[in-house]
Amino acid sequence: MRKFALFLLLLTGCARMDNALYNLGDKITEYKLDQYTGEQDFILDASYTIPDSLIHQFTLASQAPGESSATTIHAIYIGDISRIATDTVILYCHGNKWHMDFYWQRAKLLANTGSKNRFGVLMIDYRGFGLSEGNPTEEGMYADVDAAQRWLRDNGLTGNRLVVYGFSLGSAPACELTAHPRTLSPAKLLLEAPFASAAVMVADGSQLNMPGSYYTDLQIDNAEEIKTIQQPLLWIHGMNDNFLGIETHGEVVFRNHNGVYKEAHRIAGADHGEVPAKTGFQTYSNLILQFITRP
Amino acid sequence: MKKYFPALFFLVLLASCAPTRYVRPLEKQTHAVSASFGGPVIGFAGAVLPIPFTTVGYGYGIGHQLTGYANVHTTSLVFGNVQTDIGICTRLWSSANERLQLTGNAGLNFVANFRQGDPRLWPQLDLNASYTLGKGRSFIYAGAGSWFEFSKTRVHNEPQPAQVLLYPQLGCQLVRKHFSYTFELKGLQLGTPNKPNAVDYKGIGGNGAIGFYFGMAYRFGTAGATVTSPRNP
Repeated sequence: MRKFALFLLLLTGCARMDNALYNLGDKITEYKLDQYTGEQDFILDASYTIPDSLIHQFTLASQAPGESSATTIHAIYIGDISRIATDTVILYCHGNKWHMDFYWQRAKLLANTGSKNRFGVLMIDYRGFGLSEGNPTEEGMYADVDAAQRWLRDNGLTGNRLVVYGFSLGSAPACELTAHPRTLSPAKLLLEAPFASAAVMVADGSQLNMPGSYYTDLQIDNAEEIKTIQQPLLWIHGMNDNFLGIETHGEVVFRNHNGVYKEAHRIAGADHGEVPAKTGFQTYSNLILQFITRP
Repeated sequence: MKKYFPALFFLVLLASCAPTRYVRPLEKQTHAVSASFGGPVIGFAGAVLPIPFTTVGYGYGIGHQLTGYANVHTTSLVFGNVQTDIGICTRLWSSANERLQLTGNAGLNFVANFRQGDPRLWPQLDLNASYTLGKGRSFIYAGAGSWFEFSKTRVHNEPQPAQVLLYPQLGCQLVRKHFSYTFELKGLQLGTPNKPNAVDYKGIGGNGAIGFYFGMAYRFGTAGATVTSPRNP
């Protein structure tokens, strides 16, 4: 009986669904970028090609609070590094799927917003994603994005020229580090298909007023953090998003933003991951450009 | 839609985590221990399968017309939650030979997280009509169940979309001398689109989810204890 009780004690509470947030399904041995042939949301034509001289792959050391050692994560900067000290840079926080090869087309699209290679774009693979070492954790993800901000700061970027773009899972570090800046306080925030919180996922799944704590320890709570963010917000969400519904996720985040300026773009017919393509690449680029360059 | 999540974020449709507890009351003073397995059907890793909710429980025949029961949801336990359902099953009507019976279950589902608390209570009502097959004690049944959500709001103070979650169900129970085996099919929230949702539920026409369940029970305590066999089979 005592053994059974001990077994129950060990068993109880050991399972959480936190790791389900991180989709690491596609293992790679190198970043192939334009040569990547795996599944992608869209593929841009040759006019968006980035010259090799403007593609910089490197690693960063990321150390989350309480960790005894740093984790090596991989990053890609698109643009002229020497211009970081004087120009606007977009920090792209990608979604939960796979790696930077999957999001390469999106990064190219942002780099070419406005004109050819108009903006510098920094993208990282969070720990555990792509070639980045370690295992994904929520706190680790925040530390990784902060490591990216440190690299930008060390290359001359100031917060007033930093634009943070969070897509899907990336909306979590984007909101967290905008609401609670560690290295740089960004000037503007863009959220594409953000989720409101892990608790909303649980409530949506159950159709009941069920707390998120029943299945996850994730503290991600964009819907509450956005209340403290004063920076201008651009929110864009597919109206047919079958994964993070526009009503229970995106609309809540947008509604809760009380900052100085916000604009919404609800894209008809777009599912999760389809926003740039359904918007039209040129239209998408134009609205991003107008928001970034808005005084 | 290209999948962004590995489809593990699914163990949440609690209003569907077990078959009907007792379609027919136990004989008076009969004890029963039971276990169940199954849940709503989802797409997972390229396969379509029911969520493996598991429960164990105990029931007792308080009277010929009334059975009390309590169950612990072992899958929830693994996730650090205590989830129980307690309730009664009563016979509301039966034909003269008790071959056809109308029964109801009333229960309370209680869930709380071991670490953070967050207690919740959801009442549940089930109504079933069952019909005894042949000369044995096995029967088929059909009915409806419902969970009640009394909260008008949910997380982030957003409106709670539904106060009553209804689901039709049908099944059969194979009754042997001491053991019984239940196979049940539920239609969960069939009036509600199952997208958008992080859970890849498999329903009907893009609505709700189909649930498959298996339950077994062992009865003891009275000679030849049965699950309400017809009096004159």
